[in-house]
Amino acid sequence: MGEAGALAFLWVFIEMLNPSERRLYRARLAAFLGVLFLVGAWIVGGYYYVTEYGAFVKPVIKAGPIPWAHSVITETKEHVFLFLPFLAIYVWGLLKRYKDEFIQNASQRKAVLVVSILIVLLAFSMAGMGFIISSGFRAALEAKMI
Amino acid sequence: MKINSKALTISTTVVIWLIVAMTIVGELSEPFKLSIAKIGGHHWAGKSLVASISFVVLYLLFIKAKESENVFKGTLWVVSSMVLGGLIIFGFFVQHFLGA
Repeated sequence: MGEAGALAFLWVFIEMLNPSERRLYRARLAAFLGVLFLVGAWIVGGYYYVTEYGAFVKPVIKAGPIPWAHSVITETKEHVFLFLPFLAIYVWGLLKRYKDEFIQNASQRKAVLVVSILIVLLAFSMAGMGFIISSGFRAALEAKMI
Repeated sequence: MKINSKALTISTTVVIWLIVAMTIVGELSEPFKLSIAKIGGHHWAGKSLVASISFVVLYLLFIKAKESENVFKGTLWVVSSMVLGGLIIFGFFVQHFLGA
């Protein structure tokens, strides 16, 4: 869901490069979908983190060969992730507020472009951190087997 | 209802720093972490709830604020808070891990 949110904001970024009324309508739609996906990731990912990860995955990673996968990466990921839904709402709010003014105003357009691409980068960095955490879990399981 | 861009900028920026503060204070003070956990049943859920409620309250507080002509200037606050806040959280956990 987080990746879908990232792709939605990549869509916003592309629409905003050269906006027209039609493109701005699509950008608003993409930003709205992005907000829904990121809030969905917040709820679903949060449920997994609170109910499963802490009880079963975290102790295994911490006892494994790369405990920093939890102590640094998970801890950073779980907290920095919280920025994303608010940044998504920020972009969606600006798009709703200024609507077609973006065609004339380069400064407003730049604001949406910068935050949108940072949402994309941050959301994909969450996926990258997820990969490191999974690797930490796998390494811990392999160490137990050997 | 017309969205107020200044209220949106202020609430987003403040909430980012609130998340950074709750993260660091929560790691340094067990009583604070427990009190946050009481709000949402888990410290992370508690932080999520506090951040969401603060965002709405701050937005409503500043809803009548005069909007700036230069939206990009406000966005720079949001962007620099996001980058700096993220680096502070990462740096804190690196230091916390190395110091443990």
